[in-house]
Amino acid sequence: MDKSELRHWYDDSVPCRSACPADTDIPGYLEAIYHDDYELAYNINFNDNFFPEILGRVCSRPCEKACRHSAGNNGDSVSICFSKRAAGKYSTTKKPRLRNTQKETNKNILIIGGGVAGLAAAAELRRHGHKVTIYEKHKSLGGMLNQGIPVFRLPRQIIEKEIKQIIDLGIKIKLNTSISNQNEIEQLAKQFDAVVCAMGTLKPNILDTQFKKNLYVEDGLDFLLRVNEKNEKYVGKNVIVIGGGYTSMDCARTAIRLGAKTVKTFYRRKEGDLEILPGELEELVNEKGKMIFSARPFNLVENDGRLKYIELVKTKTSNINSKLIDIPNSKFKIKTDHIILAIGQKQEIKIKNPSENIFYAGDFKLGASTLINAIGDAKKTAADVNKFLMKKNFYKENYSIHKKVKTNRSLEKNYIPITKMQLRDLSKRTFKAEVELGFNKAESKKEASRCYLCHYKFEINNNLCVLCDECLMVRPVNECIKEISSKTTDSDGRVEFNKIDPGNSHGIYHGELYIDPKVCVRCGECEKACPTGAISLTKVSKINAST
Amino acid sequence: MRQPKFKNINVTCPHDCPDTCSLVVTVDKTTGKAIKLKGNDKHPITKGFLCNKVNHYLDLVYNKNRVMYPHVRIGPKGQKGKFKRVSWDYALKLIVKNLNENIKKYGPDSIQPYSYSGTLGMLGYWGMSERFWNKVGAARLGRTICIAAASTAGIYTYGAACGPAIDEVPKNDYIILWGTNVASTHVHMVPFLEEAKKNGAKVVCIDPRETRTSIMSDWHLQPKPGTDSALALGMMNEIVKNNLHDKSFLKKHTSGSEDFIKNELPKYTLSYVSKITGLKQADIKKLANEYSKAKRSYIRPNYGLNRHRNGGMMTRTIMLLPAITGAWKYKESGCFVGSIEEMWNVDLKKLQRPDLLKDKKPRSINMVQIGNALNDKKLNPPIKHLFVWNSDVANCTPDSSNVRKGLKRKDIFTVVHDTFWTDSCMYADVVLPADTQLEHTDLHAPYGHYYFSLTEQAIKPLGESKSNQDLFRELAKYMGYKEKCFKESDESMIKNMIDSKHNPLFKGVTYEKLKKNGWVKGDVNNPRRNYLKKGWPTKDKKIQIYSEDTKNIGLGAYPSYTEEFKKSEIKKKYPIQILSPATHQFIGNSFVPVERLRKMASRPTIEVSSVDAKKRKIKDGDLCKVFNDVGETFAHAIIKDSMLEGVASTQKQYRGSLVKNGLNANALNSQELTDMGDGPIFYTVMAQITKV
Repeated sequence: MDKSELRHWYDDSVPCRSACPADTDIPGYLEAIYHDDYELAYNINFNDNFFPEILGRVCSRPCEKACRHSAGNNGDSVSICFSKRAAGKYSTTKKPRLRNTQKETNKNILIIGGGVAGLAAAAELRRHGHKVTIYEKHKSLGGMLNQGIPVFRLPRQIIEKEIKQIIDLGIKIKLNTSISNQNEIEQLAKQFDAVVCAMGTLKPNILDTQFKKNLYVEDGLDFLLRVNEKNEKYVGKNVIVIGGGYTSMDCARTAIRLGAKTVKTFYRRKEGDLEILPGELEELVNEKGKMIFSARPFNLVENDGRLKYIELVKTKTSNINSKLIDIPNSKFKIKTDHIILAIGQKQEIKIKNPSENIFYAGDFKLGASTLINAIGDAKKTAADVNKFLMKKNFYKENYSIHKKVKTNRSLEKNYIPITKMQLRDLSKRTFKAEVELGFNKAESKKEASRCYLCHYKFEINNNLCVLCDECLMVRPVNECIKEISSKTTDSDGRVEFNKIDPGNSHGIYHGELYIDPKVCVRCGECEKACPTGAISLTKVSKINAST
Repeated sequence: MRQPKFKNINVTCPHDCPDTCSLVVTVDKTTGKAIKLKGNDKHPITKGFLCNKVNHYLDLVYNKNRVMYPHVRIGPKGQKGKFKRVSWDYALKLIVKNLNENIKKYGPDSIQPYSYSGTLGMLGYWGMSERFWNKVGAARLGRTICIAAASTAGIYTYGAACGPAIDEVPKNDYIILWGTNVASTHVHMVPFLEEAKKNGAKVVCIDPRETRTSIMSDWHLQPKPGTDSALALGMMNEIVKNNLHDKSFLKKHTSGSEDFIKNELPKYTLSYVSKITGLKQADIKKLANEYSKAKRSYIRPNYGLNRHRNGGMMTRTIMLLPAITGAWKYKESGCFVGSIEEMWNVDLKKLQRPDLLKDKKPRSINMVQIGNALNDKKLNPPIKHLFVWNSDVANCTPDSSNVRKGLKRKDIFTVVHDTFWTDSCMYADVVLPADTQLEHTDLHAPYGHYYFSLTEQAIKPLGESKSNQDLFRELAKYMGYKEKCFKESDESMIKNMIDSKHNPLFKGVTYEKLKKNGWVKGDVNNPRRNYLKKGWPTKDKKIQIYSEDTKNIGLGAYPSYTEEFKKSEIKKKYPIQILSPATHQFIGNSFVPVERLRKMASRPTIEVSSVDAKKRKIKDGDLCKVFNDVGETFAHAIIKDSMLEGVASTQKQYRGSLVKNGLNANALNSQELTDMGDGPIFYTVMAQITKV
């Protein structure tokens, strides 16, 4: 296969990796865990996404939706995220190594913003050998890590450990340094060879002025920051949370822990539209939070500056234009004394026509997004910065093929059910106690063994095939091996095939057998069954900047 | 102790294929149903895998197209499906009544049995049936339709002495697959070829067509069909010219070599052979050189060669190549056309009881010419009762329109015993249900290797199906035959065949060992088989380069090349030779009722050269008429750049009822016989192809 064919094969075969904005070598690290090599598993992640133990807890895990288990109707996806956490826990590496580092250059780059995007860009630029400085407006690095995610989901010592690993790559830090407008940025752009704006989205969306004015209505991120960092733990008795994203879950569960009598979360859309992690809603409900859908805030009922009620109106999707509309005559009141708004944020600074050495990364570019999106974007930005400075591409897409390999797996491993994450007992869920307890070694190995290791390639050489049907008879899923009348590869490297139309074709003798990488579950039964050695096994590695 | 729910039974594949695989069938004891069928991974030839046909054998056993019960026809012969179910008692009484009437009126020669190889079990093929027909005194059937020419060629040249089987292939350096598409018809040879290749061997494929086998081989040579003797003789001439022939072997072990080399060979120059075969001189020279220089060489010709008018001579000539180079000196090397002449050497007197004939001397009808026999108004006595079993006469004989015309005769009483509703059933007065391999016990003597095997009954016969053995036992009973031999059990008949005095291969083989393992290897190293030491089983114990036998039938004493077509047969209007070799999906006409297989070959096809197709404006997939003065058939074109101009290849014995006009490629050929052995000349046919 040439490179373009390999690219298509790899994207079709390893959709988890394609779904990861940071191009994490997922089958690579799951295979490492399967072979008890936690060091390798951790190192792969450190190089691809920089924050394995953090992401291994709170990543939005787009990879799991793409996992060929669930996406292919083959059961639950592999717990890719939690496996990453286990890699961190069991790796004995004291100081993880950045791979593929280049010679030190004389380029000086400033990164404004020390959240995950800024830190990821910094690390990637250190790989390229450049000098990197970070200006952070807060008193500590981490951005949303510290300010947005509660301790019971992400312990602070994990954050400290993984941020330190990045800084130790040789990055200069200036804390409590805020930049407030484009002019300042332009000035800095004259002093540095390049500037990366990674300031995130800290400006909260607001409802109308009535909500804005009341002292007992606060923005979700403000609530989380004061509670987690400033130790200001006031919470109302009947808390209302507005929103359907990660922050609304965090706010509601934090409010419960602080002692609110009731916590009700209202989301204007439906349950299927929530942008949260699997299990979060269930735990909110277990922890006695309530979630109500299809209702949006309409009005406040105040009394002397204090809240009495929030008035909401029910919503539905319009039949005409599929937009969200209010249902007439559906207003209702809920008693409340504390409202937390978790309805999204925007960038604080607007930049127009920036100089050519100013770049954007993370939420500042994308709008409020997820950690992994920010990290992935930051890596791309770093590559752009490097190309701008060095006038050449650092990374060239490449694949390498390994022969004489074994998967060391077998068909029955494909039927292992998903490993459940152990949760802390409800009665013991204090403000700080981490709820998800992590996999132990046996659990992480078992979970990793579920991965098909889709980077293994089974292929039929039709010149050796005698069409005996032995492989067809051991197929564990429909159509992993297809009988096709012809197969073409277009100039782009994409494989197209025509399945044999029984009764309307020359038949299989004049056709060929094709292992469809999008359906093949890598069980290896066909290779075992083939009497003529027509089925071969190779392993494909995708080479990226951090390989 | 809890009884296990499943049991495994050793079964042998009954079909007409040299591999004759050993199978393991798993039966659910609670339902009596066979639920799994797999190749026996302990058998050194089967190696645990089956072909694409037999992998679906259970779909053949449990198939809704099975006859299941006796039927009689209502409505005219030849039309589809008007049959009425009757009891066995009724059917047998009807048959026996007709037999007796015709024997009385016309004599037993008017009774014509017709069978071949639906099963190759030693009992099912020619056991109780032959006892019955011997007692009846019925006409004989010359069972020549497959290997007669090649087998005769072998006997004339080496006597009944067969070469090393396919499990010896890996020890050879140079392997020639001559006229054989092993990927489709002999698939268990492939792993041996791969092993040989890993050991550094070169595999050459000589076949006018490109096949999956030729693609797998190291070198593919495409001589014109019917010219293989010339190629073999050209090789011999080249070998002798370069002094690479084994003079001492020739002197010690062959007769007639001196004269042959001096007077017959020299005319087969490279230029002459190149002209005949269409091959390049350099290629013929290279083949001769490589073959003769290889220390251990192995030629595997197959029966496609013997389906030509000059097929006997072609096989004989090729078989003599290892005599020229002395490759026979190595017991793993030489030439293997199959092992049937030795493996099927059982005491037929005991098995078939020809003594029951008493003093009757029945005539013999060659099955190739059944069409002539059915239509010949001068045949005395005429055929009045045709009893067909183990065969689909309507599809598998040459000149099939003529055959079907004969089958349609209103004054013939026809019985067909078959597992399925074949095309032949449509001409039957009575159709009797046959069973499948899972439903009886038999002994198998493979023709591709030397491992005898026993197949044991795994399930009860479905419906009212009867095995061939039981059918003829019943017929004998209804005829009132009192002889004990008609009651002899299958086990007893099998045991009586295992006689090492009669056949040295049976040394060390016992019924008990067969029952235990499913198979036992014949004694290939028996000193009686050491032909190099003891001499060959010919009249002077030597390999017959000079053959009195071929001389006596007018072919000359020495191997030679004769043209396949007489000058008068080459007509401008019929410029394409139509080959009809075995297909990948079926074995002869068997397996057609298996849906998965039929769907993968559900339209008749013909491989045509791109040159011929272009001239006729035929595009890939177009339905074409293939015709000559004898008849016509229809097939969809598969256009191949690799096909020789003037040659086309369609499917062997394709089920006629699936073709537009109800006839397959056998509508085009004739009932003429081969140069030796009186076999059929299926491939000696010229026709025209036009787009429909």
